[in-house]
Amino acid sequence: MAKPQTIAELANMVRDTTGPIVPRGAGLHQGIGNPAHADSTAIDMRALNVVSDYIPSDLTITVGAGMVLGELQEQLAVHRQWLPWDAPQHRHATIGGLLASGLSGPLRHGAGAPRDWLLGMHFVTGDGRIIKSGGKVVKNVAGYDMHKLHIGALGTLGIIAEVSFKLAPLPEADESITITGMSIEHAHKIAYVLRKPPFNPSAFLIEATPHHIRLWVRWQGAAAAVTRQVNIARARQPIAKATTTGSWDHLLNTPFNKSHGHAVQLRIGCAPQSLESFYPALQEIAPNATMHIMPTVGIIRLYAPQMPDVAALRAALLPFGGYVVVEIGEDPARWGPTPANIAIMRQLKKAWDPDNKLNPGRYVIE
Amino acid sequence: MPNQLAPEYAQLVHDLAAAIGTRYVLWRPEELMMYEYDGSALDMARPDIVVVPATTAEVAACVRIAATAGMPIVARGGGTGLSGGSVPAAGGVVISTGRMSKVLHVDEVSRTARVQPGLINTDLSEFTAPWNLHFAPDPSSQKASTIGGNAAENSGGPHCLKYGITTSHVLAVTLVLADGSITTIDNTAPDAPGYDLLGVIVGSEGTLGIVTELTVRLMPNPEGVKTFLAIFDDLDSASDTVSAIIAQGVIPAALEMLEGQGIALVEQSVHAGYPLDAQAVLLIEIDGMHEEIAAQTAQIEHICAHFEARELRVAQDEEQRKKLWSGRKGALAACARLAPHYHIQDGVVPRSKLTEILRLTREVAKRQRVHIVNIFHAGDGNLHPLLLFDIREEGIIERAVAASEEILMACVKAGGTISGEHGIGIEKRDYMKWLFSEDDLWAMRQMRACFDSRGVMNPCKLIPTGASCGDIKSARAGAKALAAGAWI
Repeated sequence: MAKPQTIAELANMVRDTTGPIVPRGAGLHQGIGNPAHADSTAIDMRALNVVSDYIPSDLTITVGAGMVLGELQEQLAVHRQWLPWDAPQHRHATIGGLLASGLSGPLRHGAGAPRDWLLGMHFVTGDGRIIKSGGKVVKNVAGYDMHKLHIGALGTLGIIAEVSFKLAPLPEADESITITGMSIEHAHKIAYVLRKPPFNPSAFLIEATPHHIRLWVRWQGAAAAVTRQVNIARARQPIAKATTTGSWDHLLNTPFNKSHGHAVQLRIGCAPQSLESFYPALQEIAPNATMHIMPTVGIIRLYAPQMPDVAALRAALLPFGGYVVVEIGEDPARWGPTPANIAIMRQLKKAWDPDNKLNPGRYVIE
Repeated sequence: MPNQLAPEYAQLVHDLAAAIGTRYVLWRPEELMMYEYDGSALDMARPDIVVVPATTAEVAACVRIAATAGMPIVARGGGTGLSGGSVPAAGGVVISTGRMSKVLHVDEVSRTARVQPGLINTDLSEFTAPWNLHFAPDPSSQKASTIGGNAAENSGGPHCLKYGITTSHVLAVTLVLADGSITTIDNTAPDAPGYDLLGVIVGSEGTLGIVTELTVRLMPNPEGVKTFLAIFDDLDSASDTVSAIIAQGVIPAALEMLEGQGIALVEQSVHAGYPLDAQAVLLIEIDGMHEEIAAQTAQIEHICAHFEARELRVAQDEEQRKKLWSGRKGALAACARLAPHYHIQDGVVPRSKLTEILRLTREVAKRQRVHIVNIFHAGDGNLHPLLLFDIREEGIIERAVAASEEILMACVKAGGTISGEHGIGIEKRDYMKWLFSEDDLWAMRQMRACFDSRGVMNPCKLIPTGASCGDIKSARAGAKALAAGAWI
């Protein structure tokens, strides 16, 4: 497998390759989306993993996209900093791969999405040009934010080569509770109660399996503030149990579990205000699924042994403007209805990847 | 002045009037005058026609008619921009959002508001106050600038240090494209399939389309707020204090600096209680849970003492807090006392380079014999060198431009950028080459063409262009006087 050592080498490889190209990080999320073209050349991005610019007092970093997110977090932790991004398998997955796959976690409730932390990017177009977008400083409005277009694009619009992020100070305290033994609807209601003042949590997750339903709540920040919130929450919810960061990691790293017979992974999105109306249909259509619901963000990931009736899920979501994507599993209508503005997206793909080399057939844009 | 319509525009005005009503189509020279500039001082251009539509459908009709006639189309909100973004550089039709200023819906569960683009920034937070929610981006112009304009420029503001700039707060837009078609770009259901077009729309300075409706994120009001004024006898100590606060992991809600002559000018005008003889003052605001405020207060007191602040004052109540902020937000107008004309820059440096760049600014001011006052978002490393002068002085405009370019170039060399929040517009368009290669600019042009293949939307802005923009009526010789209605 080709393994470029520099961005210039990567650009040359892309330019000199005539057939389809699959950019590849750790390979952990290559199953998402349509299968790669059979005759693809894979480009292993993991040698592009160098921190090229990090002055801790600036709270910004520039790093090669092949860097594993967990390794970056370890380097940052030395300076009591971090990137509040709890994507699945973050200990092993590369930053470029996670961005391209559009993956994030429950911290999105309090910290925002990776796009809110991404300051700039170098990417390589299908004709082998190295393009810079954004910059390295925390505020920058020079030019279009082209870097945002590559998040979730599965490498079809350019290969993410280097990225700059703003960083956050590591919180002094990080405490979580879980509450087990209620319906999804009830868990959702508790989450919304725990969002109101005086609460200011950093993450919520409703974990629903065929065996149990559990609400996870996380607080981060000044120790005394975290302690106060946890104490009030536990006084109001006596059945709540304390849990650890390690448990969150475990939960987020193994949701799609082949040993549990999982063969299907769906991403369901809808504006948070409509989730409650959608839960009854969701449980009726997919009764045996495991689900990770971010009740305040509006994203549900569903893991199941067999494909549920996706058309029925889409029909139930239609009044709320939601969507269902079959991330893993065979489905001819993987992406659902054609996105609005597909014509603009197709033109953009054609402009930046004129020979359709970058992951052809993989994404919704064809 | 002639009060007659140029014959070549007669049909166009007729068609526009048929679409939105005669009284909302302006073409008389005296009606057009107030649309020929924005808050930036150096570039002016008069539109040929101004329209003031009331609905998305009316905007679309105006765009269709103007585009068919081959006219450039420029959207305009409050006209407070600082880079010429709403100045019709190549003439054409200006579309004012002045009649589209409503809050359409507030959703307490999703914490979002659906609004029209002409809504004034502060009006939104006032509207949502009963829900204990607010719109976080707070440009200093917020009492006059519009949400649509904020989205076009990806505006910042003091509180963006903690809460992020406008792009993180816009979730969906209705957009009128260059051919007059209407589309929506909607991220309210997060991570929907397809490229994140909203990410490039916000900050596109009206070059990709006209936003006629927005869904924006609302933030919960913090449990507590505490505002400090730190007073320094020495500029380096103040900027070292800023770097130390960030380096120690305190992210204040806002961290603003006024330095040099600016302090006295602001004090004489606003009476905010700033000491006239200070070399630098920092306005530091922290917010959050009470315990967080207590912990951060201790850290800030320690850092300010370490860098020998003369005094650290705390606003005791909301009135005192507003007073301290009035000095900051009214700073630009206050500087009119020093000289009648101005030019503002908006460069950004990594925060560890603040001391260095502020020293350079003072050197440049001395060398070029221009007054430079810095009133800026120190916590973000976002400088606002305000160059003050009187254009009647011979050679002053050239010296001011040279000074400004030297400072901006130094920002770029320090790893920063040419604009943190004001936008590129006309003013900094040619400096884009300092930051971006031909290939980078190629990618931007290609992307722009996907939205607007004929280049009718706000032409001659943002990206350096070729000869077609050579005939812009640059009004550099007639820089306008510093007005009370301008903010940084």
